[in-house]
Amino acid sequence: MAHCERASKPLLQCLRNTYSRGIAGTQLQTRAFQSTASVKEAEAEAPSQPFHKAPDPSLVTSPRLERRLLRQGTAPIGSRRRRAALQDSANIPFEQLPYQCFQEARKVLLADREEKLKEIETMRQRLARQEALSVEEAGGEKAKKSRVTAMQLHLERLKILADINDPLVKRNFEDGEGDMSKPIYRFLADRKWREYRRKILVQRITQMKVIPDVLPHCDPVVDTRMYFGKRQVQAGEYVDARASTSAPKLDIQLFEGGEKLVTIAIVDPDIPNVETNSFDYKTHFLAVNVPISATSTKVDLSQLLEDSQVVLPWLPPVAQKGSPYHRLSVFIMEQKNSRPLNFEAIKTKETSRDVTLRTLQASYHLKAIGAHLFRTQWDDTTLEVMKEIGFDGASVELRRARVEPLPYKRRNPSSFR
Amino acid sequence: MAAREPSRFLSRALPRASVPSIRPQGFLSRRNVSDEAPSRRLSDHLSELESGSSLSTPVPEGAAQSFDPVARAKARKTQLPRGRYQFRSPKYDRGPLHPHQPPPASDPSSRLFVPGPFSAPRAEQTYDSTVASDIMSLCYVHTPPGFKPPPKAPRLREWDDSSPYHKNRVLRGPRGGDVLRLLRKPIKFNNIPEIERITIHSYVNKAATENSSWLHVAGIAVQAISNVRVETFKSKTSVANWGIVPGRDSVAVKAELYGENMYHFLGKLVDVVLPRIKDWEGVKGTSGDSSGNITFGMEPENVALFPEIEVNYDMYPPKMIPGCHITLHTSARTDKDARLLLSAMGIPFYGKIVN
Amino acid sequence: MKSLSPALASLANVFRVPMSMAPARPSVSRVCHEILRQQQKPGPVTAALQASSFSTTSAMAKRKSGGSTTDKRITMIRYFLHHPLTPRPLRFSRNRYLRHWTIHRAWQLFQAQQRRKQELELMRQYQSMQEACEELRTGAGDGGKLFRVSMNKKGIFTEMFPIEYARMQTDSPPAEGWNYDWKKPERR
Repeated sequence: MAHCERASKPLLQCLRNTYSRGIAGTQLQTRAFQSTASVKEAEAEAPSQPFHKAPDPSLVTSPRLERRLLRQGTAPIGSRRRRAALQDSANIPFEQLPYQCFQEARKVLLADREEKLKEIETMRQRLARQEALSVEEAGGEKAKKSRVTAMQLHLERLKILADINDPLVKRNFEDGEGDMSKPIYRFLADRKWREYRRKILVQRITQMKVIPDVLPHCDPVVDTRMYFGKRQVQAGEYVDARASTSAPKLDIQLFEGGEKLVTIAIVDPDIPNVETNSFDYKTHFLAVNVPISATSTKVDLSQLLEDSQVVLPWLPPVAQKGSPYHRLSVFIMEQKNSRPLNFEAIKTKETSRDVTLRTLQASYHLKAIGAHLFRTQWDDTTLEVMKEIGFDGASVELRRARVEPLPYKRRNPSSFR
Repeated sequence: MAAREPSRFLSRALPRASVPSIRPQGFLSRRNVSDEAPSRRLSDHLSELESGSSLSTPVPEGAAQSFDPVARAKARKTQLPRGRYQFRSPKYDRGPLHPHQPPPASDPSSRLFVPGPFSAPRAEQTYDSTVASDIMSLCYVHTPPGFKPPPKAPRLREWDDSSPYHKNRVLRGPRGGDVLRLLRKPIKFNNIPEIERITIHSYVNKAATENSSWLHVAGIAVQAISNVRVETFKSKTSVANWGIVPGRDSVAVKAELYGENMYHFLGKLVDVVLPRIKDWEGVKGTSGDSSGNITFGMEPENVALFPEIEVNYDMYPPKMIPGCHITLHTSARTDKDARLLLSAMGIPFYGKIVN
Repeated sequence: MKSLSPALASLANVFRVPMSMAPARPSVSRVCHEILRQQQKPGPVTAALQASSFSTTSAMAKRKSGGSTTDKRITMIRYFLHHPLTPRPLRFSRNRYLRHWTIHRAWQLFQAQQRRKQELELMRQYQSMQEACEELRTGAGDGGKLFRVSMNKKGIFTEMFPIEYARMQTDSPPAEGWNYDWKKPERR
């Protein structure tokens, strides 16, 4: 991770502090991401009062004034060193700083960008021409489709290449200001996700054997975060039974353009079955036709529509005393061609919670594009939750059946006597 | 983990009111890349680019004259307060799943960062401007359009199935030896041989028989002529009359040269050192490992001819200056191509040429 | 002594150079020569200069049993080979880091463009060579004799380039750039 991300962290923390103090969001947004260049304008707006009466949060350096600002509910911006340096700076915008090598480098990058823009134009024309061709002229349905797809991919690539060398884009992305409707920010976010978070996710779901147990294969391409209340749950973390009584919120970040319809399923493959001496599956949640896109990422599972999306409502997970931990695996599955599924038919058909996810995947042509995982085990709050939801095995404690050692392994076989 | 996710804070910090929690019921018209409207206008594509690109803003006139950060820093009466914590690259590699990851080597905060290049070596420029195209035209073999070379026999031979045990057996090696030589492809514009790296290796037997100072002097001499930090190696074989035991004695130093260092070293070798060696005919024609890497040795008195050692000759104990082996690794697949390249770069060969 | 850098101070400490003898801003080479001069026998001039002390031998060398017999040069070589003052990783402010990044990206882009240009130039040469040879083969009207002669590779891989070819490019080439009287030297 680049250290500038670290550098942006204090900024974000300031933001968070301010939010927790209950300041209106609009004020926050205008103020929080002030760049160096715009400081002068803010100064020019209110010159009438002396500085110690109305300290500017981007320039204040004395600890006393900082504290006063904090009491008023405004966090100072950036580090104290930065604020002190800004006090007597000329406030030249970053891209106009007259360092010679930097400016020469910008010229090179600008020339490259203009070339890329020209390429985008020619590529767009070629694409339009190719699409206008009839199937016979293009030489078959398949050939035409593959050519058009390749051209579209190349066009997307060119859009990324046009912007990737811009320092402002890099700065925006590191500050978390990236506009996810633009391909460059989606590309950067995807790269960052794959550098670390995806590796951790894949490690968790493979080490805890969710992948062969629940679904045979999953290649995550969307970043999924999960929250119970306000608390984020890392992949594979233990969650209290009390915390998980209400459905979690998901934050599904798609890195492609356009909108997708997905099915969200939460499956527990670890329900102990005493009769067969094995484990059963249980679907704790199932919703279909959930739209996600790169810009609208939040999915609150408790707010999904009962009459057109939720097939099986949220069932709080509880682990019986003595049972091993339960892996509650969340799967985001893309519906084929992003077409909506027939909700009524599914609602009447899928009434049982015991159907495995493999069956659902096969019957509705779903493709897993994202996964997440949390675990639950017996804890102090489980008993109450069991009573609340009317779980019938609440008074039972499971025990491992004693495995009789084989005759030759017995310590004191009868043949010895 | 928490430190790695600024956007997590961001998403949490942004007011909930601004985030639509209930989905809009009507789906957007555009759903996927494949479903896009057939032909979009240029402005649609350009709107997907960053609108406020910083690259196009020009620098105002006279900005450089009035800009004087040093004077501004000097005019400050008190020093700036200390900066906040900054990222520090980890000292040790703890694997890809550790939250403290090193930045890429091009990042100045990386421990592997090397500034530069600061020069354009003559040898590299000569190669790019003349040698490459000359070798290409010398090695050009014309194939008429539509010509297909006859198929060659497979390099690994089948078993003749005379025995039932031949079934599923791995294929036999070539006739006359088990070594599969590299295949030589015809030299075209994209595979002209070039020098990939140079290895300087020096075996100092007295480092084992006497004391470590021999190794240290050899190391610093190799470092001086190559501009690269050396590695030391322990002996792998036992040599009875020097009393060398494998795995115990550090007896060799090696430096690997790439890029700028390599071309500077080659330039020095060809222009300064080799012409001054007395009665030196050149590199033996039999040298080479038959896959395009040529090695030759240099005596201690010849190593002393390198300008870095010569100007500072008094600082080295004269009898301790090491000899060394210099291996020129080229991207050629055969020795004859490698020799053609090296002769173009100024290294003479003598004697019977063996390929 | 106030301006002696820590590296030089430790160097002087290692080699027991008296700090009073070191000049105000000693360079590394001066310190080294100091040490070498100590090692050799002082000439009359140096002895006269060092009139403040009675003996020019250092205390360690004077001691009978102790005192290292290693060459001072080797001590110094060991010092420079192992001394730990390697540069720390750089730490830039954010703007400076971004400027560095911009310059780095531009340099990478420029290098990629140069490589591309070079490769395209070679490709152009190769293709025109191909066209010329095809013309020679079919259109010269001599039954392809010239073409066969031109494809003869005899001596290329045995005699290789003459050593006179291999001259690195210079900023200031000689006035007569090409020696037209050059003859191929006889091989021994």
